[in-house]
Amino acid sequence: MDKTREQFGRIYDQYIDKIYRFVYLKVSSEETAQDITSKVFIKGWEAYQKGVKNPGAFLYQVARNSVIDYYREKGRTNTVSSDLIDELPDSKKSIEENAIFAGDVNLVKTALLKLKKNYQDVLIWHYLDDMPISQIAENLNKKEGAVRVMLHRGLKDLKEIIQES
Amino acid sequence: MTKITETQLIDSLKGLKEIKPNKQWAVLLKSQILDCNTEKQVEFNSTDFVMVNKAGIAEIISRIFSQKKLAYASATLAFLVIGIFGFARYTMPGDMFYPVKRIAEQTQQTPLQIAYNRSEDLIKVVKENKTQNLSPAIIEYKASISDAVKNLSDSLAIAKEGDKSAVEEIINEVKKIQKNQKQLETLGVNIEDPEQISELDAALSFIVENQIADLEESTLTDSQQEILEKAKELYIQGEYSEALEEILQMAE
Repeated sequence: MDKTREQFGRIYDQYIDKIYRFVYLKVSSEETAQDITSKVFIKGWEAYQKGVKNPGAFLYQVARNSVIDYYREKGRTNTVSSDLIDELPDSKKSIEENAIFAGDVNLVKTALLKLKKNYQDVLIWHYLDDMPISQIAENLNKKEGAVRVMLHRGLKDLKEIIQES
Repeated sequence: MTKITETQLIDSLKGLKEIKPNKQWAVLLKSQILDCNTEKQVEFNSTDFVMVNKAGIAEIISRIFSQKKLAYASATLAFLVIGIFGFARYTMPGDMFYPVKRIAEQTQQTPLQIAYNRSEDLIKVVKENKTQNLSPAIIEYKASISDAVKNLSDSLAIAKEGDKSAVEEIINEVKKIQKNQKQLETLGVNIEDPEQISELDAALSFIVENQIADLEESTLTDSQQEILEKAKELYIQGEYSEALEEILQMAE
């Protein structure tokens, strides 16, 4: 059991930044991203103890589904106040963190939110998480060629959104 | 930004790598997930916390690391982490350490218990006039109710497979939340649209409706028929948890 815990601890260290970032870029709220990421790793740990074969892919899959659930729930409950909060500057962020979100990077982040969900996934995985195309193809159950096309189209759409803004 | 090349775009995308979770939060989450099934149990009470261990912390850590200094440093860190968890129990939505409280709850409590906690938080925020916490408390309350509603049918189905106390516990939790909902209304906090049935009541009424429909199709004894009539009456009056209580009693 201690060995399993130690192994999952290493997986946690390897993926915590990536999963948090993946979720944060989709929900645009630190609190919600922390909430979803916590649930992802709790499920991940439960699955790992049961012998899940590819914990990395599993974590991403749970993260994707959790984000979908979050938006489905948000649409159903239609909380006005949470919508407002998403648009307000995050007062909890440090000056350094806020600085990161300035300028072009912030523009790209905002544009990314307007992109199709599948394009968001492949762009984040490939350019931010340095995930090889073969791995993305496995995650999405698609052929590598299809992933390359998605990357190309994702970039093109992202560029258009930015240029229109 | 009107013109942008693909290289610039990729560079900007890579700039998003700087988004990282709060380090303290990440460390606490890891510790909470990986420690919740260990031999050690952490019990919190209203004033402080007591660690119950089969062996002392320093002894266990010494065994692991075989180095006293490292063991003491780790023990201090463990106490610090536990201290933060203890402190976090008293935070409200919108407070800095509130996410820590949520992590602890998620690993230890049911969605219904969490929804009850959020209703208690909201009442406290309103009573103490903590205006800064009000908006986050409302959001958290609504989200927790939605979460509880989503799990209600499953929880009842699982509880029905178990003993009577499990079902009673669920109904008690629902009643506690409903009581707090009424208290919030008297405090002037109308979360739900007054013209519409509350989310929790809607879920309960759906469950009760299905149960009644099933029972109407079944062959019942006279006493069961009597209970069913009573349940239907309670259902019409909008007393859904009471109606459910009657129906579930019949199922035993």
